[in-house]
Amino acid sequence: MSELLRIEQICKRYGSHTALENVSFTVPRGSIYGLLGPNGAGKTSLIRIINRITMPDAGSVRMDGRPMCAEDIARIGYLPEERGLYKKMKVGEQAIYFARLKGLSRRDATDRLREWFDRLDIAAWWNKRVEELSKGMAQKVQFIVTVLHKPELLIFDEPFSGFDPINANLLKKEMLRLRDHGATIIFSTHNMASVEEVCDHITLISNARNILSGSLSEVRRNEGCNMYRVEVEEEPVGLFESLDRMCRVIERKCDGERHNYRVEIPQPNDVTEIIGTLNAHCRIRAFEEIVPTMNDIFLRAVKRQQTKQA
Amino acid sequence: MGKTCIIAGREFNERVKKRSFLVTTLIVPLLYLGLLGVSSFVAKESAEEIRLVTVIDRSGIVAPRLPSEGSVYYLESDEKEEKNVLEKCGPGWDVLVIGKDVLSNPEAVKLYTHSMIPYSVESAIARDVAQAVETEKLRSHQIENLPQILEEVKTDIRIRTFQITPDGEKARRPGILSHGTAFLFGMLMYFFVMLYGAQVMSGVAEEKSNKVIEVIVSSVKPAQLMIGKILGIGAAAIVQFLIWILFIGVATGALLLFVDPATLGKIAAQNGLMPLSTLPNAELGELLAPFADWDYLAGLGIGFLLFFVGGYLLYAAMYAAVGSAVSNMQDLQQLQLPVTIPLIAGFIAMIAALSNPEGPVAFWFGLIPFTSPIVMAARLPYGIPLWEITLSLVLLYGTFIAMVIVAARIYRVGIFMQGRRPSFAEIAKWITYK
Repeated sequence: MSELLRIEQICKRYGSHTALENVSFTVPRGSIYGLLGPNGAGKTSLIRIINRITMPDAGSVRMDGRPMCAEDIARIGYLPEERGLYKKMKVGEQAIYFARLKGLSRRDATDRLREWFDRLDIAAWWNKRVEELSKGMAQKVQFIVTVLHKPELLIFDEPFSGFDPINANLLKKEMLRLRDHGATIIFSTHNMASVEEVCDHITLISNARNILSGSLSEVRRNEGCNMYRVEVEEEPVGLFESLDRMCRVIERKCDGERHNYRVEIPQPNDVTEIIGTLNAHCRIRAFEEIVPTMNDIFLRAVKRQQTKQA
Repeated sequence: MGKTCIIAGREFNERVKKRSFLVTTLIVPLLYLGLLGVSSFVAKESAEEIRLVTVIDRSGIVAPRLPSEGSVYYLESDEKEEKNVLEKCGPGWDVLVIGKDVLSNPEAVKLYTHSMIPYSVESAIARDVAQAVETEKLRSHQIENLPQILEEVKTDIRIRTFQITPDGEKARRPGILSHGTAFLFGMLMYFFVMLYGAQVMSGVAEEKSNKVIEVIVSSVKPAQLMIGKILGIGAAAIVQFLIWILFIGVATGALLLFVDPATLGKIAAQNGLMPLSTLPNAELGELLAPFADWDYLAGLGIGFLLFFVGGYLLYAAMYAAVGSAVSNMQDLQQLQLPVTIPLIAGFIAMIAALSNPEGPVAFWFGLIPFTSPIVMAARLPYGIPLWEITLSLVLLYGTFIAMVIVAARIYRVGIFMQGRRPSFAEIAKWITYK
């Protein structure tokens, strides 16, 4: 996969406050890239720099391998965190206005908008004023405005905030569809479940620094803590002791017939041996790696950074 | 450029479609028409009203000499006792009492009225009585052929003003009327610049507060957005202005055609242009002539428009910079001081220039770009040398270009600043940000 965007050593300060410190990562073309981090970590600052709204104090943003220039803005669709629409203007007219600012002709804009309004089931709002819409509705409109000119790169800042689960699902579906049609998407979020569902790659920014980057599976593997869940049907005498010799049993639970263990196996090569031993003594019902959730990874990584700094 | 036009188009459409735009566009000509209507109605009504006055003349010299025509009708009473006369005559009659010693004592005249008496009527009666007394005094000198002499002596001086223009042509300038127009022009300019400039400011502040700015700036440059906004709102202002001119022009034209000069004179009098009311009709017509002179009118219109466009652009750029720097509406008041102060200075200079349109105040403030639109608007009706107008316009438009560059730099930084109100020093620093 070729790279679309490369963030290199970006630094940004506002007075004495450091918003970004040497942040670097690469966004592959055609991927969905999650930008994670606690509130105030610097995500929005970074997004604004990518959008050329503000300039970095140091570092550069490269698109297609060359430094990004003002014309590249037309290739980006940006959905800001705080939604901005003219309250008094009618929905359809306003969407056409924004589309024309992106360089679409009035006719093209109208055709594409009709299609999108139908797909997101908001065609009935065409002639309503924005102030009459609920927050979620306005957000759908804003989403359409962002993607309408078919930009190569889409940047969504907190796209799920304010959406109910139904609409959030709809949005995820649309994001995946856009990616399948060739778009590259960067989105920032706090919603870890959505990261697991749609992201191909992530970067975790905390306290102005990039503390974790990579493809989702890679991150999960690296952040995996060699924990396994073992479940056997009965526990012959001495089994627990021999298990404990081979690896570290963290937890032992007995629920009638079923015996559950949570074990840590530091050397992946030991897994086969342990399974062999267990298999010789009892019937194994389950043996699986406990993959950490994004939520766990997030919390752990942030905590790790905090202790390191302290 | 294309995107600037799209932005200007939206600003224009949004404003013109608003109900408040329609209301103000219609209400000003309607107010003007209403004012004219009321004026001419009042003038007509007061012209027809005749005051009835019973005269008790104890001197025996005044009553016979009171005029028999005019707005006051005098009737001498046979009964000489005030009390009886007051009892006898109804509420329709005022009672004028002339003392026996009126020749030596000017205060021996009393007037009883049943209703409020207009000042104009009171002075007309005083004038009539004074004239009667003067005639009697003159008669006592035993001059032969006195009436003929008096008739011969009567002189009425009226000044006809001509202005010598450089090309030697002499144009008659209506002193009083230009004064009125000048004041009107100056006021209009002041309010127009302030009204529409403030719209630019609140438009910018609104975009900033509802975050539309972030969406737009991802498609256009901040400077394009600012200039588009200024142009769009300016276009709406000019459309409104032209509609007003059209309305007022048609209304005034109709007035000149259908209302006779005498009533016009009365209207002028009612509107504070007192001396006009004493002019005979022919003179009045001549005086109003420049207002039917299309060259003169076109010159005024074009001049006003050029100064309005320049003044509006200059102030709108400043207002846009102010609007971009505020994060909440309360801060607006303080931050707009640097814009309102020169504007008010222009207004004050305009008032000063009215009393001496060729004086140093008028000249210098007419050249300084921040005050020139208002001052020059007021000076235009008097006729100013072309070189002065040209120089003033060049300075105005030059300053506008410089101001737009500075304002765009402030704007570009300001629109993304949130929170606390920035100090003027901080704003000045934004200009040099790279």
